[in-house]
Amino acid sequence: MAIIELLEFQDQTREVMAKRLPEDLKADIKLGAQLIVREAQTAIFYRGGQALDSFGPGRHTLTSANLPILSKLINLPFGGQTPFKADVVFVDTGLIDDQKWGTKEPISFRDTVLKVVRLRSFGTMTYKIVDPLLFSNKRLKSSKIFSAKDLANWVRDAVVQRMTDVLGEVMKSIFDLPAMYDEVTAACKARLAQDFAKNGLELEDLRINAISPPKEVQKKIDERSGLGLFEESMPAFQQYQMGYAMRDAAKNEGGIAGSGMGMGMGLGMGFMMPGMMAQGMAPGMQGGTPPQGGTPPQGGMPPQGGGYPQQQMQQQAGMGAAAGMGAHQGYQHQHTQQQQATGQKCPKCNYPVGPGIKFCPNCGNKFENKQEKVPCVKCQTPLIKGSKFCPNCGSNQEQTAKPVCVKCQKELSPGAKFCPYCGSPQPA
Amino acid sequence: MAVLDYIIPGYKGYRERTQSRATDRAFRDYLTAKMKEVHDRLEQVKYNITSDLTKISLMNDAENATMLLTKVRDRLRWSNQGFAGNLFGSKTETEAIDAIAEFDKKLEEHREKVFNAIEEIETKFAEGENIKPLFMKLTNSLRALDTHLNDRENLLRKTIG
Repeated sequence: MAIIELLEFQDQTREVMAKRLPEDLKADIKLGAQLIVREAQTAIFYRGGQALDSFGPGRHTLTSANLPILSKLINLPFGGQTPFKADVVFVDTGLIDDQKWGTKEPISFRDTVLKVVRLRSFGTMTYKIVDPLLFSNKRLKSSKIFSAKDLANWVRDAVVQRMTDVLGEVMKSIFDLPAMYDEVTAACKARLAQDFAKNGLELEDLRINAISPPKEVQKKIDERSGLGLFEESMPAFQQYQMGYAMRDAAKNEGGIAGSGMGMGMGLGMGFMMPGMMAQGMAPGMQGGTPPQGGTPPQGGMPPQGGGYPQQQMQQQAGMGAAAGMGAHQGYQHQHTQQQQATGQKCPKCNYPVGPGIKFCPNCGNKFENKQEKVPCVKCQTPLIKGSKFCPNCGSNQEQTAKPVCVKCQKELSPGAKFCPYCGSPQPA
Repeated sequence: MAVLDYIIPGYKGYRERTQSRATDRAFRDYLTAKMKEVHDRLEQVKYNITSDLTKISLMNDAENATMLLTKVRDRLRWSNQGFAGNLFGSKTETEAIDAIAEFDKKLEEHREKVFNAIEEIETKFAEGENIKPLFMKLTNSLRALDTHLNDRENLLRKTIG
């Protein structure tokens, strides 16, 4: 064993941020020990539990009270342990690079175009320790080693929190973001600087690789951009959304709207579409205010009058329902009035909607229709009151329902006093 | 250790040169600490900008200045110290080290310009004036310091290499 100790630390993993020596934690550094500190390192000398000094790059001689050779003798009354504890913490002041961060869950933002959008974000960052003494006392404390992994959660949460804050303040629409990446990054970095500084750290680089909505939303945006509606044609956007809602409704066989859709898209909803489309395509209306509401006039045909050419209506709507509509002046106005008269609104965006609509024509929100429902006499599927057949099991709802067992719900012959299946008595 | 001066031939000169280098390094460490101070003040300005996000367009200029400042700070901290050239014990090495020390003293002038620039940014921002041109001024003074450090490298090569 050497009389004079040599203390140095080289990290091959590039993960260790701070490490305490001697490794066995005996803290018995001898008087005159040589401390070698490399560039991008700082060593903090602890004696008697106190952080006495920090050493920069170079060779340093340490002064402890543990005398070489004699220490064993002195330590005898202390069970072989030195009463003059002295140890050194090496702190890496180089860059801790390629640290990843990202949102755990998508975060909701208000968006001027999409109303509400959920975004997730991820990227990388590089930071370093600039105040080794502060870092050592606040983070390493009395432990043996501290690596970048130990800090990963804290760093990620801090970045996500600040990023959310900045995006919430800056972002008007996600479509503006590509032009603001640098500014958003710099703003996040500036806000994070103090979070890092209080731990003795400095955020050197922050990279945002992506700020994007979830895949489902991206898909919808792609579809929308495919229509070429990105500029400011809000009415056209609403046509898209309405069509989307109707398509979904048509798929839903068991639903209210689905029943109507399956029978030629439903007369009422069919009337609404050409009206909105005509408004979107009418000269001078591009980029105007979106049409109010999305419900058709009750009772079928819209009022007759001049206005939209029939040919144009058919071309745009492409639906049989539009063929019989003809042109009418002020259709949209009346249509809006009727919607407002119903008084129903989308619970999410407050957009006025009419009865029988399953999706909001403005935000696409799916909402429950509050029409009265009755269960199917056979399969118990909820149906609109007055339905003739069950869309699920096909059973005729109008025929006099056969009595069922009060206990096992199986069909009984009319007038049966006992159930033939379970034997339970039946009321008269 | 002074006793070794008389025992080991050439040790005294070696020790003096080492001390000279250490002094020069200490001076550069001082400048680095000053640049760290500028860095912290610039971070504070950036933080203030983010509190009024209508001025977020200034962040690009501020960030560019920060990056250049970080570069200059690190170059000051980790500059060559004049060991290259393998002229151990020669008179040329001593001259080179003295020349470098003299050169480094001039860095103080640049430090002052950088300080003035950041001070002006702080004042004008507090007064609500447009500070975009002032970031340019800060960047220019940092660039001048960076160029000066290039000259330092050239001086080392010229004198020793």
